[in-house]
Amino acid sequence: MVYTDRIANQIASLTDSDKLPFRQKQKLRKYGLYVLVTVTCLLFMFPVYWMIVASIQPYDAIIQNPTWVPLDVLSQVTIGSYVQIFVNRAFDRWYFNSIVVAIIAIIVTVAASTLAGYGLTRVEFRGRKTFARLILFSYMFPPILLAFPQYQIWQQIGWLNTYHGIAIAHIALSLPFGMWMMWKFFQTVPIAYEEAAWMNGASRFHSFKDVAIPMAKPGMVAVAIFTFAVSWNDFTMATILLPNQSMQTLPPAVQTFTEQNTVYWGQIMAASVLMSIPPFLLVYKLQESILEGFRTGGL
Amino acid sequence: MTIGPALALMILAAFLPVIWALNLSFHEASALSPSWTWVGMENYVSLMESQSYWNAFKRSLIFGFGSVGLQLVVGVGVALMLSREFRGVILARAMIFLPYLIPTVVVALVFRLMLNGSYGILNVFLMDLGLINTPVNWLSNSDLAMISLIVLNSWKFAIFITIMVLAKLQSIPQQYYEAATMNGAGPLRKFRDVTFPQIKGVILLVLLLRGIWMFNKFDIIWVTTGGGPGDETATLPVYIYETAFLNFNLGTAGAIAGTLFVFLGFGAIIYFAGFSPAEEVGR
Repeated sequence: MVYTDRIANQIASLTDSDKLPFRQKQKLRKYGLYVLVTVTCLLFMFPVYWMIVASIQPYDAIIQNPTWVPLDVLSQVTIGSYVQIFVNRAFDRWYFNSIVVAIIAIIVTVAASTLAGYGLTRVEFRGRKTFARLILFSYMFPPILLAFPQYQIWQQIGWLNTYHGIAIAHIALSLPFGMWMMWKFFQTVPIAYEEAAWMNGASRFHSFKDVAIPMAKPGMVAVAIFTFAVSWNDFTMATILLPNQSMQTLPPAVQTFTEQNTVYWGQIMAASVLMSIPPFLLVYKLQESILEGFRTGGL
Repeated sequence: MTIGPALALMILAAFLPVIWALNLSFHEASALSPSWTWVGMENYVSLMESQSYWNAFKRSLIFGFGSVGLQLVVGVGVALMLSREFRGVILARAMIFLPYLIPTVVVALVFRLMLNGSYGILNVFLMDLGLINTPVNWLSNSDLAMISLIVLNSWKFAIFITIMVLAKLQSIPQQYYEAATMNGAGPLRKFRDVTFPQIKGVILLVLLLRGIWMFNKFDIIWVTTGGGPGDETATLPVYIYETAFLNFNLGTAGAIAGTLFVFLGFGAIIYFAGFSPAEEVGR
């Protein structure tokens, strides 16, 4: 009886981590954490893996017997889908459109929000709180709410199927965040530096250009990235405001790779891969300044 | 004034369209003819009586707050995990942040392929593991479509919450945890008494802003299911799109937009009352 009790106790002490010696407990926790991290990483990575796999598999392999086993995937690699989207479809044209629209949106948003942020921080005026609320309220406007009336207005003034038309629509989404960000950012830039510049005879314009702007750079980079993300991602507005296929940006164009009942998944995934690359390059290059910017920006 | 350009752009691209839509909502207007007829509140009255409007409203609520709920649980969980120091944490962060960089349309398309009922890899995978015997139609089964949509939507957007919460977690002074350990607090107590009070603000903000955002999400739903099967995933934004661009009924679309606007207004009031964001920049 005593003997079995002792065994039971030993078993209990093995399973109950509270009774394990400290070092073993730490070890068990560490392995547990690693298992959890690995599973989470796999879950988050799998769709990305699958996108790449489907882009380099022959059409029949995707539709008939798809396999997730890496070795089987490697046995039938083809770049056919990548070739087809350039040869059979106007992929380069849509890519170009997307880039042009994003660049216009970035330049205008960064310029307008830097100017506005500076003015809001440095110049006293009545109704500043109301203005702050108005900015944040417009930050909530969903694309569909704006795009549906924009379609009719743009139609009247001939802005449908134009770069500036879609870029300005994107700016409506990115500018509230941009202004807010720069407003908060300029508050962290001490006015003393500018005052010192004024003492030395610099004009307001010069102190803005040579003192304030360089210090606000991380904020501007964050606004630029945010605007890029908005523009590059936008499907809703592009679908509505760019009905002409040759003017379309990538998001609405990519999903049209279908014919009657055939969906060209390989081509769609090849386009998806190429479309996902710019955001990666940008973010990993600028990781530090983004984090810095977003920490100050709050939102 | 230096806010001039920004203000002009906002008026042209945001405020004017909103006013335009509200004005439309009081008219009988079709995209097929240029003439508008004033009808007062009629569009709103018929919307309030329309069952399909309320169904779409309900679906928006389910999609919006279902998504945010799931995103909060996953997002905060992942953030807590990634806030630990361990070897390879940088790599793990990079891998987990990856989905957030994938364009929304791409997310929708990849999941449409993965969840396909006849050749989707998820079914192949689950059948290989012996978890299911017959393929499941994740997106065309009316009981599953909304849930699948919420899950795939959260795959991308949970990371946003992770990023926000992680930034906040890293700003919590380590001494707090040391003091808690000294006083004999276990991991759960530490979360409840040290971590949670610090991230509560971010969580509330995210819940409200993201909730409204997801409520209004159009792209991921439209590309993944097109509102189907039937109308199972047709939320309010899908309803606006169909009314304006497939049925050409601009007046009604305007009225739906008007109700969305009222909803946004309520959100804004709670937001301003609860978080006083204007104070932050009012200095």
